[in-house]
Amino acid sequence: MDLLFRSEILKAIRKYFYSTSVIEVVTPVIQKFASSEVFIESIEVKNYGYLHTSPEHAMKHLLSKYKDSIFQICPVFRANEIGSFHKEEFQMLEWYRSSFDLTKLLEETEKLLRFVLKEIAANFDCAHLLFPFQKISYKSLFLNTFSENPHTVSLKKLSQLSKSLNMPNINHSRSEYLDFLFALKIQPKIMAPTFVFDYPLCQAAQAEISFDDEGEMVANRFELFIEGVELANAYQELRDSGELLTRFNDNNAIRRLHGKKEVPVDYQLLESLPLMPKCAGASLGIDRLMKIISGSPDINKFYDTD
Amino acid sequence: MANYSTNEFKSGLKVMLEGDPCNIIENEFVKPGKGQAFNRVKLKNLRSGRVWERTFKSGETLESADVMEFEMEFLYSDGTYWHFMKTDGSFEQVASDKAALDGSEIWLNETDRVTVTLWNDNPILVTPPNFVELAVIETDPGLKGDTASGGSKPATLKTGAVIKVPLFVNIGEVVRVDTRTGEYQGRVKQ
Repeated sequence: MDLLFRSEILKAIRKYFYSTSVIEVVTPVIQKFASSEVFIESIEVKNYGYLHTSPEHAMKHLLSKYKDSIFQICPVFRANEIGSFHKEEFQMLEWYRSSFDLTKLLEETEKLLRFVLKEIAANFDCAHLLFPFQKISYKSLFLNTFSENPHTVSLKKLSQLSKSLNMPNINHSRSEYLDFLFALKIQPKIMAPTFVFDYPLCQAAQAEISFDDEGEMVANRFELFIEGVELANAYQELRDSGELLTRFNDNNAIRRLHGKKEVPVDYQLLESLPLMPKCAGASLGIDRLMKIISGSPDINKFYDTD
Repeated sequence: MANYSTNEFKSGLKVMLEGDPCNIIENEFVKPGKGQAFNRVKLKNLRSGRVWERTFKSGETLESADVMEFEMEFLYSDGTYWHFMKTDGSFEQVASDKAALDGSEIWLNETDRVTVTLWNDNPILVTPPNFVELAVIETDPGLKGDTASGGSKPATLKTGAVIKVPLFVNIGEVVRVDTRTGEYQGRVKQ
């Protein structure tokens, strides 16, 4: 039964974090600032603010004061995301590990998932998910599929590749082309649990910049895909508020390009950032995890109250 | 005409695309993490029968197509038009030209029930039942008792269709045929 299914997963996640002394926190669902991300639309609560699209900003504010590892399981809200893998309200696990580098967080993500699967295995069949986890760079995936280096390929070439796949004809930024190509040709083929790391700079979001083993500048983040589904997303967290302000302003510039309203900059976050300890953070979609484990065709099923 | 946005797309919805009425078969919402959302849509062009794959920016709209499907009874053909009558008690009739039949005329048996697709009240597609029972009007003489040798021979049915039948089938016998593949399914006891 779905009710028990979710409960068992949540219990296992909490058991893992409590046993490793990560503190569970709660941050307000209603926030003063909307998400800065160009393609994540916040739901406005009139006279109050916005429903959070992720607890990222509030948790970073907490981190800047508390300084130690924290986790949260909460509902998050994103307007107009409706599909068999998407819901306008869904449940997210988000956690931050003080002093961790991204490699250590990657190892922990795998450990956490293996722990959860083991904990629920008595009542739910997880046998199909117990293969080894893989690791591959964004660059390798892109090279394998398109024979192009995603960090250096020209905008013109990206546009050609996208057009050949019937991309809707509008003005696109570099990141949009990359996303389109990745989502259409690469992501659906990732079946075994796979960590994809070293993202293009234009997709750094709130991750630090580092160098890959060939000396190319990359965003120090990873995503975990299982059976074609994006399950988790993690950053070596950026602590340079000047750099974050630049990225927020860039987002607003792209918003203007698409005729969207600009989003005021969350100055509270900019103030918190330098006080944050070195840390790595990840988020994981609980409903997608349920979908992957159960093989259910639609995540909306887990919200049936009839 | 109403417009449908990508988030209203669902299988069975009839929309206009590139001037042709289409039936949506599949609609998949795709959104890379922080990227722009789009919809991958499979549509069947109701005029050509071809299946198209298209990507739309989420939020894009398509005009609805005035397409309706009716169960109708096949009445007769005058050689140029095929005449059908609605089975809803209205006795309303429509005439379809050969283009809308697209080869399915060889399965049309008088009084059989078929599905007729109307676009702006004109027939654009006639779908015969999956299985029809038709009499054999011409074939080589049957080999009596030979029900096991596995050979086949051509047979012409009363509607003009030519199919392969087992050697034991005789003129005058009624056979059951799958109209999607044109394959013989068996003899029908009269």
